[in-house]
Order: sequence, then structure tokens, then C-alpha cells
Amino acid sequence: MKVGLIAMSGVRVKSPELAELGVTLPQFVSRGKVVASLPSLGLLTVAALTPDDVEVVYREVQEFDPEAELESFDLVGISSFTAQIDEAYALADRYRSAGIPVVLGGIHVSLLPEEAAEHADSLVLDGAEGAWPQLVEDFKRGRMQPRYQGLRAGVFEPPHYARPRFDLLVGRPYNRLTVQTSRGCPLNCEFCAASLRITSSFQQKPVDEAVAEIRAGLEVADRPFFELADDNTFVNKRWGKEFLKAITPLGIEWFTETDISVADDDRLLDLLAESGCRQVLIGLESPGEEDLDRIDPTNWKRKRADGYLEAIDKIQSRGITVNGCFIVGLDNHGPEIFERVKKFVDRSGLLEVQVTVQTPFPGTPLYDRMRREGRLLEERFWDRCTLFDVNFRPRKMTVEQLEKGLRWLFGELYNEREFLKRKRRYMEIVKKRL
Amino acid sequence: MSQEAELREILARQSRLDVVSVGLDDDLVRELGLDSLAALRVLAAVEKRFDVRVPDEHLGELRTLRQVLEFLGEEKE
Repeated sequence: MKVGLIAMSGVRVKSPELAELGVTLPQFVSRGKVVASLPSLGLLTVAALTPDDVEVVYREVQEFDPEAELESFDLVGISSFTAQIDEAYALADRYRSAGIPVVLGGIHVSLLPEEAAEHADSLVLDGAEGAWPQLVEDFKRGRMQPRYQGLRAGVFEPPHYARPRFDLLVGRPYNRLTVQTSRGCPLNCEFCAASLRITSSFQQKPVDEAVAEIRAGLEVADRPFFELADDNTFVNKRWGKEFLKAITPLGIEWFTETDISVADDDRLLDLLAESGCRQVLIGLESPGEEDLDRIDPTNWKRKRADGYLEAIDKIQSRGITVNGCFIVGLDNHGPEIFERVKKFVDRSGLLEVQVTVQTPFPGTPLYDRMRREGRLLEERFWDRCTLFDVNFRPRKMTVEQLEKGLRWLFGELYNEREFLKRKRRYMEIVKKRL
Repeated sequence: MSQEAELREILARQSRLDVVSVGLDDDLVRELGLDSLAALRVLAAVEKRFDVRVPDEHLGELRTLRQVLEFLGEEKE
């Protein structure tokens, strides 16, 4: 039996003006390429959960080609983010027309199972742990069910946990590997469409297992750069310190996503630097306290906003770059937000910046609220869930102002001059630490 | 120690490359996969060690050991 696991990958932008602008902006392009090159950790985990007597093939599809020859499998599993889901459905439809059964999974499918069911013989909802092994056994016996409910908790515990099959990546042209140390995030931001939507609570992998995965990655790739596929790695500072001490001897370089509270703990920051952490991506979301009101249920981000500048400085002084992420189009944002973000970035000395537009991903509280308030531009806009296309009516500006302001901000932040300024700033920090 | 040997020592410290096998004309980023931050760390260390400053607009141009050595030669003159 041969199973094909297919990841829809790549970065999408629908707005032609933005797409055209994007390809000319160096920092925008470089991060886009990195994101597009990351393997699907979800499917590598599915591969690991597949019984040993089943052959597994891992494939990535950058863009759906309706004419491409279909590789022959006994069963196909497809995973996709929202922006590529229609391409995933089209691919699934082609396989099913060819008589090959298709299983769909991933966050979008978990949040909209009724829609996905129209394009699949079976669905895996939430984590593959606790679902996929049974699905394969049932398939072998000719009685695969239309839905399998995966675990929402205990995903890193035996017997459900499986170490991802990094060996399937041998020979890939890119040298970045992803390792997940946690699933979910306690902040529960309204807009978040990440792993917290498929977990019942924050899940943390035991340090030993996280380290073992990194070691496994080192065996299959030549000096890989690791990206932790977490939404908020250092929620638990004690776990964080233990993890950092454990990976320091491995001599790796790595990146992760976390929240601003890493800067509260000097020892944690020192350990981050010593362990080879090169960048932390932090969702700052907006420069002002009031902009952040009710972003998350406890107003955690609002309370932290006045300490952003100091925190960024503390982290970056250790030689760790901060990729500061901003969302424009929040309910408290008027047309002045674009200049405010630009000014904040200038003052902060951020070494990398990511700006996206607020996006009501289906299945999120933000989507439900926007729909209730009649602010969605279309009922179904999944291929525009790119983080760069506007899909709703902002509260304090027009759609056109938001689109125009986003393009202006891109031009201001991602041009060659700013790129060089950030490079020089990083070099001066490195020199101070030598 | 020759300038080239010092440069290789810097490269070894700031990257994870096997510096013995790095050719003078190998593109550190495109051919050897040095990531962009590591490349900047190498240049920062070069600037500090040799007390020079690479003009910002040329930061992306010094991609091989030979190019860095030539830059240092020009700075000396």
C-alpha cells in the first residue's frame, strides 16, 4: 500500500498592485521565500503515525496545475492553509475522479468540515494524533469512515505522539527544518487562526523529546537552520530554560515565535543567545496601547504595549534579532496608523518587520464577529486569506484607505535603504558582542 | 597568521561551515548556504578584527573570501 501525503505550499497575494510591489521589495521577498520553503510538519507527523508496512511519499505542491500528471497512490492525504484550500480541493477532486480516495486534514478543514467533506472521502479533524493510525487500518479493511476525530489534548504523550519523519526531506533543496515544541497559545487572540484552534489547551512537548527531534533533524540535513513551528514557545519560562540548556551543546542556529514576555527574564535571554537563537518573531500587533484593546480576552497585549521598546532593545542587545509583527486594520486603527507604525519601527530599531492586514480567517472569533456586524466584503473569500488582501470593512477607515496605506507602509519599510539600515544595525550589535 | 587564515578563522567562528573546504571563489550565500544573518556576522567580525568599515551599499557584494580579501587589500592601500 502506498500513501501520498501532499502539502499545498507557497505564499499567495491576490491584489495585483501589492503583488507587483512585493516582488521589488528585498526583505518582503526574502521572508516570503523562507516561509514557502518550510516543509509541512503536520504531514511529516502524519507520515510518522503511518504503520510501518505502508509506503509513504511526501510531496509539496507550490501551485495547482490542472494538467499535471497525477502520481499514483492507493490513498492520498492533502493538507493546506486557507489561502490554498481551493487548490487543495481541486487537486482532491482530480484524484477522486481518477478513483483514488482522498483524505483532507489541517486547520482549515478542521474548522470547516462540512465544506471540506464535499471534496474528500474522509476527514481528519484537529490533530492527526489519535486519528490517522485508525484511519489507515480501516482503509486497509475497506471500511474507512467519513470522519476521524483527532486529539485536542495529550498529543505529545504516548502512545499518540510520533516523531516527525524528517528522513522524507532528504535531498530537498532547502535547508530549513521545523520542530514543534508546543501546540496552542494561552493568549487566545481574536484573530489567531493557528494551532490554538485545534487544541483544547496549551500543549508542551517534553524537553527530551523536543531535543530528540532536533537531533533527528541533524542526522538528515547538513547544518540545517531550525524553525520552531510554535505559536508561542516560551510561555513556560522554566520549561524554556531547561530546553535552551539542552540544545546549547548541539551548536544549532534557530528561530521561533514567542511573546514579548521573554524580555522579562534576563537569564532566559542569555540562554537564548547562547543556544544559537538568531531571531524571535513577536506579535506586537500595534504600537499603541489603545489599538490593542480587546485583541485578546484578558487584554494581555494591551497591558504590555508600553514596554515594547525596552523589551525589543533588551532582546536585540543579546544579538538576537526581533521580527516585530504588526497587523493593520484593527478596529481602533484610523488612517494615521501607517505613519505611526513607521515611526515606531524607526524608534525601536527592529531588525526585521512584518506587516500584515487583519484577516478574518474562517473559524476564528474575529470572523464570527465581522460576519455578525455585516463587515465581511464577501461571504467566501478563502483564496484572499493571504494576510495581505483586505476582506472586511475597517471601522475607522475605508477599504481603499487600508489598501493604500498598506502599500505605502510596505514601500517605506521594505525598501533597499531600510534593508541596509537594518543590516548595519545588526552588524553594530554583533560587533559590540565580539 | 595570514589574512586568509584569519578570515577562515572568523568564518568558522561565525558560521557552521566546514571552512577547510571553502574555496576562495565559493559564493558563501548562494553556493554554501550561509544564511543572511550569518553573512552579516562574518562581515561584522571582519570589520572589527581589521578595523575597517564596509560601505553599507556594498554589504551584499562581498560574497566570497577572495572578494573580502580584495576589499581588505584596497583598504590597506
